[in-house]
Amino acid sequence: MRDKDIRALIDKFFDGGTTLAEERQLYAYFSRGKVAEDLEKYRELFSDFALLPERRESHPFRGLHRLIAGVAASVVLVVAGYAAWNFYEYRQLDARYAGSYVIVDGKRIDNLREIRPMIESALADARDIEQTAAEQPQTADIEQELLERIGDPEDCARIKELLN
Amino acid sequence: MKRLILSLCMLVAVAVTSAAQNSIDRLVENFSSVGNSTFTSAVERDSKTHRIKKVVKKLTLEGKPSRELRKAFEDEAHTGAFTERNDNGETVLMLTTQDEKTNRVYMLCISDEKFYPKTETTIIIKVK
Repeated sequence: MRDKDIRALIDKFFDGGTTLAEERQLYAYFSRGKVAEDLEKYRELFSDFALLPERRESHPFRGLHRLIAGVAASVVLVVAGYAAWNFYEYRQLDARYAGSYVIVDGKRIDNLREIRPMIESALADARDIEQTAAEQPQTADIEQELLERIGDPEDCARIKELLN
Repeated sequence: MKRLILSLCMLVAVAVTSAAQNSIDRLVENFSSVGNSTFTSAVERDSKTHRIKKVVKKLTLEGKPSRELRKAFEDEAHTGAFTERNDNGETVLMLTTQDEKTNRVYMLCISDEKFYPKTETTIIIKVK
């Protein structure tokens, strides 16, 4: 590189306008053995600069880009997770309650997610009713036992008629 | 000729289905879509095989239909084990029946209000 160009680069350097590549050119120039006499005073300075960790080109919006990308990735993850959960929940509901529906004031609703509380309430009530119904045969057993204790067949028939 | 036989078969199938469905089932179905009522048909399945384990039909309504429902229960009483009791301001009728494929429980709860009683009918069909 010509000395004239180096002098221009040095001026540019002190104005803060040099690129990384141009700064490397300056460091390379001053690291070789012989430099122009009027530029010798800069040798130590640029040698010191050459030892500093390389600065990165600063982009005004680098940080903002990263923030936006991070937020976008988070949103995509949340949406994908929600969609996956929704699909799983729908499959579970369908496996357990497919065919269920509700009619309210003449309007039919088939959306299982919407009517799930009513389905589960009806099934819970049914379990209680089945429990009550299961106790019923005990009454019939007691009647049967009573009739068996009565020896006389005619009395048995009369009481049976009364019970029914 | 084939069409006639097919039509006859379908008529028989419909007649058999209607016979299997008793008057309580028919009334509940009729009232399920009227105003001022809530009807729930809940189907419980085995989550692995999708086979139906139980069907629960629950009808809630108010007013005159309670008389018709009560009559239907009384008409069907001879088909199974029937009980009636009065408890805490309501009358409860229960009928249990069974056939080769299902066990059924019918329950009717009528509140003691004179002019506009609240009625809750529950039909449980348990598949054997």
